[in-house]
Amino acid sequence: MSILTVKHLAKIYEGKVAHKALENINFSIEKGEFVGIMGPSGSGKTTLLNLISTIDQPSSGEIMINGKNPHRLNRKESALFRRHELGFVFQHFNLLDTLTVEENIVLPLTLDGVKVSEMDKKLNYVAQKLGIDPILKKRTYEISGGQMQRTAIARAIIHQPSLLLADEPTGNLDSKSAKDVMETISTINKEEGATALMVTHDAVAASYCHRVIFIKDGQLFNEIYRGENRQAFFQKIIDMLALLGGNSHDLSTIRL
Amino acid sequence: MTFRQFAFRNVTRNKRTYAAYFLSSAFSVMIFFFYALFIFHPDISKGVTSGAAIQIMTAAEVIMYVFSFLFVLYSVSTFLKSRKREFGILMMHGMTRNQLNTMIFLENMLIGVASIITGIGAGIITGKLFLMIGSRMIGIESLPFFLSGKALGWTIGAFLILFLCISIFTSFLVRVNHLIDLFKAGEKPKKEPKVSKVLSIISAILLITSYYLAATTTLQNMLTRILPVIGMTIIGTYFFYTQLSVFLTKLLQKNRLVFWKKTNIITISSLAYRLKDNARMFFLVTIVSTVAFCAVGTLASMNVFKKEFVENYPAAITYVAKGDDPSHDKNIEQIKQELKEKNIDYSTLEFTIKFVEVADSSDEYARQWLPVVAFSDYKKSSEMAGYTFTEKEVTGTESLALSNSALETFDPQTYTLKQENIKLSQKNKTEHVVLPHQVLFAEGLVISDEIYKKLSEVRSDTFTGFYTKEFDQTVGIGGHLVEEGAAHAPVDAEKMDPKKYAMTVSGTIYQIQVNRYRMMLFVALLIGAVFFIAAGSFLYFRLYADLDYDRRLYLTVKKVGLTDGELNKIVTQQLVLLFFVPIMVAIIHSVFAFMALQSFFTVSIAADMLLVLACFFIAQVIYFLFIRHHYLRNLKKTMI
Repeated sequence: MSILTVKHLAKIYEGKVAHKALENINFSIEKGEFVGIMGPSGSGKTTLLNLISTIDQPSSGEIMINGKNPHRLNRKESALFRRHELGFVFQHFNLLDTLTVEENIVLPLTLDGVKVSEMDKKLNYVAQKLGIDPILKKRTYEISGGQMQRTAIARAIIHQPSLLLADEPTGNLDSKSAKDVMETISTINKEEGATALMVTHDAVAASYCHRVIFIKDGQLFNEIYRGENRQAFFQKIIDMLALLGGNSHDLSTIRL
Repeated sequence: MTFRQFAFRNVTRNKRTYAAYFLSSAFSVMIFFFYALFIFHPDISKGVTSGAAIQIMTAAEVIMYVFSFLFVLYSVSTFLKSRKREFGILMMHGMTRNQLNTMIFLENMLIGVASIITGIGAGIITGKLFLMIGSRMIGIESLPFFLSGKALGWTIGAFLILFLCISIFTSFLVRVNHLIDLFKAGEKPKKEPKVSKVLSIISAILLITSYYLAATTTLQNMLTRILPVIGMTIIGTYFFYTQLSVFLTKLLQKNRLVFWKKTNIITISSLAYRLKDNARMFFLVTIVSTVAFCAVGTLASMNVFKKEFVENYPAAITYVAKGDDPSHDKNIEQIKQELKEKNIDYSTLEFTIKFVEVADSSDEYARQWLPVVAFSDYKKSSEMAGYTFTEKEVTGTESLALSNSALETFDPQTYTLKQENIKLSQKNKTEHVVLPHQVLFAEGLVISDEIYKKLSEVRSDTFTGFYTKEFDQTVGIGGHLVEEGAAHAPVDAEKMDPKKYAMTVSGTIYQIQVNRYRMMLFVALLIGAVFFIAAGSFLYFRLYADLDYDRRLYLTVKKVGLTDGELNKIVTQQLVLLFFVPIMVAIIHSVFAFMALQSFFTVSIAADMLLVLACFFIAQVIYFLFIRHHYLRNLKKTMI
């Protein structure tokens, strides 16, 4: 069963000079899959993610998540849709400074009016899984970048969304933290069966995916599947990026 | 964490952002409560001037309330604007519009209720002090502290409604059309501020014109000028901040010698943005401070009042006997008796005011009888009052208009008397007042002694003046003869007034007027303080809203290689701008307002005004130093 289906998706930014950010994008993601999206700067990766995450409106085409088109929903329904079906991880973490780590994590449940005892149960489970239980009582400025991102991941999955969306989750992290974060996402994907879509620049991060979709100049370019070996997959990704003609700058986050 | 806890934590953990807003709201509640305490005090009706006191305080309540409403509304809407990104994150996690509105409502109510409680708590603690000072200033016996349920109920009710209305109202202020806009709020690079040359020039013209008009105001054109000048100043100030100031910084940027010199490049380049971004806040702070300065300044001119008062009431007690009546001797005897009892040294002067019949006059309001005083009597009375007499003696048919207040203006008239058709023309007005306006309602003349002797009167009044240096000691003298210090007798006394005399007692009149003034000053001081603190809160909030942006900016500059000293210098310059530009403009506005006010007084009010402005300025400097210290510390927390 496919969780996400994207059909003939296009996004044009109107303005003095109309700019085609995305053009005729088609792909789908099956339940339990972990998919990466890569491409050079300006290829439309983030635009695609914004469209899927309902924070931006497509110019044409259709996005179906779990059999529903979120862009057809009214304001309240789309808020509830995001609350129940989607989980987000951002490059800049986007944690609320006024809340502690645990409060940040239970935020989606709080908005839903879930009972406190149930929130506690879910919180403990997720925190243990992600290895952040020692820092639950801390405030956001007291923890490291990697911990912040893991907190954000915990927040994104605590309500068991059908689709986890991640925008450059390792973009702001050092290599050790990046590795932790990618392993966390990978574990959740494996053990919880969470479906995930991740946009990234980082070939190492992408190598954790089952499949990587490449886009260039707003169009699908290629996709490659991971075999058994992550190292070999990483090499294939590098080759593909070289083929795409990305600047060496785009590969700068390679850490071996 | 439930939803309510979430809203609660949003506020309590953001103490620093809300601190200034919370404190100034609480302060407003406290002042409102003070006035309510006064108005509903059971003993207040015992005082002499209590009617006026209650009226003035009620007016103050209304002003406070309206101002608080605007203040809270403005503050809340600015808070919301700075939280766009946070709202974006929440909506990404599936917060509905209703939930967002509920959250904002709960947060506002939390701060509102907290500030009501704090304000009233502080009010109860310091209430006794306030009542003591207040009753002292109004000139009644010190009021015992009495916590009336009405005062409490009114304050709580009024502010609860205020916060409720605003909480509901502001929920609709957050417009979310596209989530992505919320997200990108603050990330977008700022556009270059645009200015219009025409509006800049209009602003300059408006300000200069209104300054000119204010500076040249006289008593006559005061009323016609006051509204246009205020209007022009307000519009001019608005465009001064949104257009003219930005225009001037742009000119400055073109001058590379200045612009490219050391840290100027950072200071001046962000100046234009800062001015434009904060234009509305600057405008508000300026207007609010100007109002505060003017209110306090006007009433602080009371000090001048005593000097002016003496000019209007040269004799401590004036007694004018109408015609012959045995009661006059008795009354005068009694006044002497009372003066003696109070141990007041005094001297007396007696002369006759003749009423002569008028045949014709250039003054259309002239009555048929004209009171005249001989020049020698005028001279004597002026000397008795302690003036050095320099006026030239009038001769022949020359005369002086008898001024009965120091402010009177001179408009020459001529009178033709029935007797021998003598034509009396006014040469000038008398420099000093002889007869206060209460005892002489009509126009009068000072004429030369020769004519005075020649004139036969229709009837005559006898003036008796009691002169003393300590006129304020005469409070309450002749209590049964006068009402509030004065007894009036119109010119045609025989027909219209059973009273056979007119009289003024300076001490009593002075005390009543001073009390009224003091009360207004007292009210103005408190309202001025509320305004001033609110203005401070606007500044404070602005600063913290920009803190993140500034931090990033300074971090970038620091990476390029900026020393700590240079950073301090830049930050100080920016803060000085934020704190002192509006205050300086407000001071300049006030100075011109005081120039206009001066036309009301014959004695200079410059010294008192300077004192008031200096006090406000010093308060601002202290506030500035305090904020600068905290701001720098906060900024450096994240620096290398």
